[in-house]
Amino acid sequence: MSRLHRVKLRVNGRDYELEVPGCERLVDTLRYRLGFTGVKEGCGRGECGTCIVLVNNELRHSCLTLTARLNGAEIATIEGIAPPGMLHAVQVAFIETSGVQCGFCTPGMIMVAKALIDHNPDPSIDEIREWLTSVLCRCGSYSLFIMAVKKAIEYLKKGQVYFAEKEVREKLHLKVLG
Amino acid sequence: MFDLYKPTSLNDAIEFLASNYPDAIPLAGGTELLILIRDGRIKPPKYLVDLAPLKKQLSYVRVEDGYVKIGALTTIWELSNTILHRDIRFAGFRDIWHKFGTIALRFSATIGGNIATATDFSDYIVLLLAYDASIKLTGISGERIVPLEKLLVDRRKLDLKPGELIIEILIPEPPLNASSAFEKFDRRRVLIAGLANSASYLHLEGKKILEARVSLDVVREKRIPGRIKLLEDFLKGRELSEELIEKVVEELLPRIVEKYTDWWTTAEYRLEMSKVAVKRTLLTVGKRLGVI
Amino acid sequence: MSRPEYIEIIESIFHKTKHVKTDQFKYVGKRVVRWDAISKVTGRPIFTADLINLVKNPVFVYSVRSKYAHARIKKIDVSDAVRYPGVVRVFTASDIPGVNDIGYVIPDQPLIADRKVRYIGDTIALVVAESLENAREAGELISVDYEPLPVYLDPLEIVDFETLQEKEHVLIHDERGTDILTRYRIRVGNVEKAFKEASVIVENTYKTPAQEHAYLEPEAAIAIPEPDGSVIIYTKTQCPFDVRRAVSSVLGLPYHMIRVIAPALGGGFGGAEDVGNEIAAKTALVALALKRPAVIIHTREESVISHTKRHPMIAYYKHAASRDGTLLAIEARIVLDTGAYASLGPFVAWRATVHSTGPYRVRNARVDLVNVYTNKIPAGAFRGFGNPQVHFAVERQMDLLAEELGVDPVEFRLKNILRNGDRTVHGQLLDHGVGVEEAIKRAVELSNYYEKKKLYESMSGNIRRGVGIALLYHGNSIGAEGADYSAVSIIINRDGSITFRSGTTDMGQGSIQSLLNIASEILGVPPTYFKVEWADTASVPDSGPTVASRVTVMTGNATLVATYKLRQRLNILAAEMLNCKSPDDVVIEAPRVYCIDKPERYITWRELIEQAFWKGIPLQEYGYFRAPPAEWYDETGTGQPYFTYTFGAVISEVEVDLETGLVKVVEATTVYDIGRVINRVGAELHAIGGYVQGMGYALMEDTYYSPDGKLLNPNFSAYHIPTALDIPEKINVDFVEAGFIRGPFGAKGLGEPSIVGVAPSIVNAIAHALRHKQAKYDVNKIPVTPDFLYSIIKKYGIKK
Repeated sequence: MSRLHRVKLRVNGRDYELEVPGCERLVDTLRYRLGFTGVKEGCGRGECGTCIVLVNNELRHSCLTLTARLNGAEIATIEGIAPPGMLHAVQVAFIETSGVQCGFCTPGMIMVAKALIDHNPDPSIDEIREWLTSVLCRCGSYSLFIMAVKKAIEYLKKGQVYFAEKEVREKLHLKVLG
Repeated sequence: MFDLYKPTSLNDAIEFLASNYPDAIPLAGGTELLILIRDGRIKPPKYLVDLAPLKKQLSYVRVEDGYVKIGALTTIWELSNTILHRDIRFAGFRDIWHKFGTIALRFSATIGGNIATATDFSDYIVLLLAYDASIKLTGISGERIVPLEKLLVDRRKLDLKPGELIIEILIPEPPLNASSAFEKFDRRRVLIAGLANSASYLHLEGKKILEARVSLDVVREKRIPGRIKLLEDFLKGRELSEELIEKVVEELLPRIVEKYTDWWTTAEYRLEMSKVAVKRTLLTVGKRLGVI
Repeated sequence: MSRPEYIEIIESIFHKTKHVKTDQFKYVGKRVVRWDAISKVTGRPIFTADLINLVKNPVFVYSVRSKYAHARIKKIDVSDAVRYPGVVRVFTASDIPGVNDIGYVIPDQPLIADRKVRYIGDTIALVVAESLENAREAGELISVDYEPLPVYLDPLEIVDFETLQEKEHVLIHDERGTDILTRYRIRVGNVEKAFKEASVIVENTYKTPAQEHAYLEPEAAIAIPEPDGSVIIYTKTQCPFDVRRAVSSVLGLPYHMIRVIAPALGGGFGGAEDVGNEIAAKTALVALALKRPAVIIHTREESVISHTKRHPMIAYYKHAASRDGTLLAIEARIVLDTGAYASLGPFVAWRATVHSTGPYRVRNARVDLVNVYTNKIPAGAFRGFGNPQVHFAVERQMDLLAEELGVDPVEFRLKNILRNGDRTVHGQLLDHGVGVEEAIKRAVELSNYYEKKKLYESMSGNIRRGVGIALLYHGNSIGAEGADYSAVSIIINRDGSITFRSGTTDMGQGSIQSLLNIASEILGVPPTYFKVEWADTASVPDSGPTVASRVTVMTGNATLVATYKLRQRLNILAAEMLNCKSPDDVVIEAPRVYCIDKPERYITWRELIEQAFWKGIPLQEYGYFRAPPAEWYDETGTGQPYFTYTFGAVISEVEVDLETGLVKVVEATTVYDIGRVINRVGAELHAIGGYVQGMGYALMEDTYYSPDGKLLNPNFSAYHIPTALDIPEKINVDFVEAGFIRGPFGAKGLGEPSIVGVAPSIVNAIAHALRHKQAKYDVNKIPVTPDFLYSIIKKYGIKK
């Protein structure tokens, strides 16, 4: 019954060759086979958005995606939206605007924010809000995440896409912002 | 649980679906089917037939032969980059966009899939009925085109032959001076089923209504979308105005529409909201055509 | 009687700093990037389920749950499940070595049901298998012989609303002999006399729903058996030491054989207070029996069914006032529904009773509250803990009274609020720290309340606007619920870096940042010097549970005490090393340490610490703080229930669509008196996030059951929480600092107060938008769903 499908995936810039049953969900492949636990599962039904990843540059609910369908796909999770040792402008903006509380929605929220900015470098507040509806935040930080997106846009406009994590840590970790 | 079958061509897909019926179900975006299986609402079939290999073939929006033809595997996201989101004759498609799931879902969900779910909250069905849409199906006995209305049998039940696939949606190309609107609202702004979802299509000449089509998520008895023909017949030939809309909807809707009570809300409230939704879609179309 | 040293320390710091404006501090009150921000934006494995890749060869535990809401168990047949491929073992109640109970306050809740089931969700067996899928499939094969009993979903089937006496019915908790869990009362003054003398009387009945926490992280637990027979349990919990206690009882093992580690929580809000005990006990039981790591990961549906909800309330209130606007008397009969098991129910009932009259001077009160069992998902702790319920009723009453009196709602409240020097309804003297008046004035100013009120009252059309205010007060920490203590351990390492250990868990609230800010301020080192260890019962002190808005005050005090003592020792050494006139002259601005009159001559922090090491001066300190025991007299409901109260004023502006009954919050203003802002980011996020969660409670959230007791909406599409499109356009946030003498730098808590006033302010605004005196009485229930509001609009013919 569990026929295995050969799947070639590029995840966060690295190539993997896997054999998975047809019914295996991408969220399980990413979290348990490949160890990318930055991808979360909050509902399993495509409603909460915490499982959102990028598949061939499009947002996908990994809990509703079957890995066996993705042969040849390029996948990015929170662990890979920036090169190793770097942080993406969106991540830096999320730190600086201090909206993160429990952090469970945060990877999904950042993926959506990044996808939005890649799609439209200058979205209106309404558009930002609409995109961010893809992820539920029970801690209620939506308004701060909207600010984070706007801040990330500023960085990107200046051509600053990636930041060295070490430097971000030096500059921001436990630092007084004002 | 289930296995995945990857067809090499459309023919391969329909042959596999037919010969394995009912143990093989086609899988488009997965945003509905995988949830139904997960929730235990349908038994896991032996095979899910992955329609992704057919994506290129079945994703398009073309205007030809007097029809707007939409490939069934076109995702909601892809739809938003076509004439359907730019041309005022199709304004209702933009209305659905703002209410359809969340943005992330729109990359996976397909218009064909939305039709296949065949429920009262299949938003595209509500809108497509107002466009008098037909559906092209294909199966081992060949292709056929069926009006969407006829295809809907009951909730989650389409009049499909064993192994038949939805491959295209056909909308008669609307004339100039026609437009549509779609309305859906509930306790919160998105991720909702909708208290009373409605779509209206009007073709006007000045203020005169040449053609009116009004659909609702549930009309009566069956929990599937349908058109409110009595309302349409009454509107046809009259001059569109706020007063007309108010009068017609208030008087006629309760005669035709019967909603249901469940744990979410009552039939009475749904009926009242059906009136509001229909009025609002008609008003919006009127505004869009510059008549109200 | 001599006071404990820790009280002396806290009070002396308060007195030294009470006139220091918050912006003068270096870290207290500042916006500090939280200690775990980077690990959260990078998706590091910090939640329980993320740790599963660290264990090899785990087994998965699936809880088979009751299909009946109320039934006796005649027989359980697990034989088919045992034989299913991949199944390792099936556990039932008889496999529990210790006590089969996980009741948080009273022992009324079996871990695995044996004799009867009391709600659809009760665990009847644990199927343990090589994969979760196998376990679930095998679970379907367990057959149970049930004898169904009548199902009670309405608390008024258990108790009479007029008399609050128990009704005849088939007992859910027959072993207790009654389905009344607890009763509380307040008897102060003479309400009968007051009602006779009153000019205005307002009475109404109020209802609030069972709110679901809907935190994004479903519960998970991983238990790892150790070679010495002990067990390590990683579990989603707000209270690792309570987990240890519960597991010890279930397994019959002493505490030191059970090590509980609490990873980061993806949201808690009180919902992870007792479910952590349950899943930890289950996984530990299995792990020790099978000598393999055991894992539980809940689906969303399992999460909703297995953790507790907010207590629904039905309350009758009668308020009386004199013509001049003085509140004279309050009478209330309150029924809380605790569902199938008590959970935190007795404490929720108590807090609700204590706060049942609101932040006002009330001379005459008669309150009776009863908490009863029904066959629904148990109700337990949820941010506010009984207070949001009663404040909804009280603040609606205050608005109705104001209207009857012909007085503005803000003015009416100002006339009756508590002020410094007043006594609460319980007779507790509040000689300082009452900041509600300032909060009201600030909120009115920030929100432009009067202008908006006037403008909205003149609006016509189908879209109406309204503005409403609600006040609140919220006793900090656990009051008379039990021994209220906290502790931390601070270790200055030899290289000057600092290890911070406490039993506090983080569920997003960020109160650990408050602790770091306090520690940094006292020691004179930047927060970057600190590393926070996970709450691990083997190595951190017991800080008490992370609940009741207590961390900033209780654990903050413990932190302050520990760092204060360290600082004293370091001051003495530094004064020697630098030749300062006195240890009090030592300034630590790490990395520099110098005498206040000679800043050019300095040593480094590292030098100081190294010298302390060589001189044998202890560089660790254990900070302990214990709140003075609360006083509560059951007969009268008087005493000193909480050591301090957080106050607040919330103003909401709504837009009501008369055609549909849909409500949108346009703008909100929250002003909380939290004594002293310690963690500015955290405080602001609480104000904002609490508003969003309170808005859900007010407008869209409710749990629905089928007649046979099955929850109909256990997922996010059918249980509506606010999305990014539902939030108000603007939330104004400000703070008042009426310092509390026994809080760290005067601070008070905000975790729960930040939700208490939200729903009533929104509903008051809705009522204002309706502009119909009689209709306002009907807006007495939350959630104010569109159909509910529409029915009121229609009933009273409220039109454009």
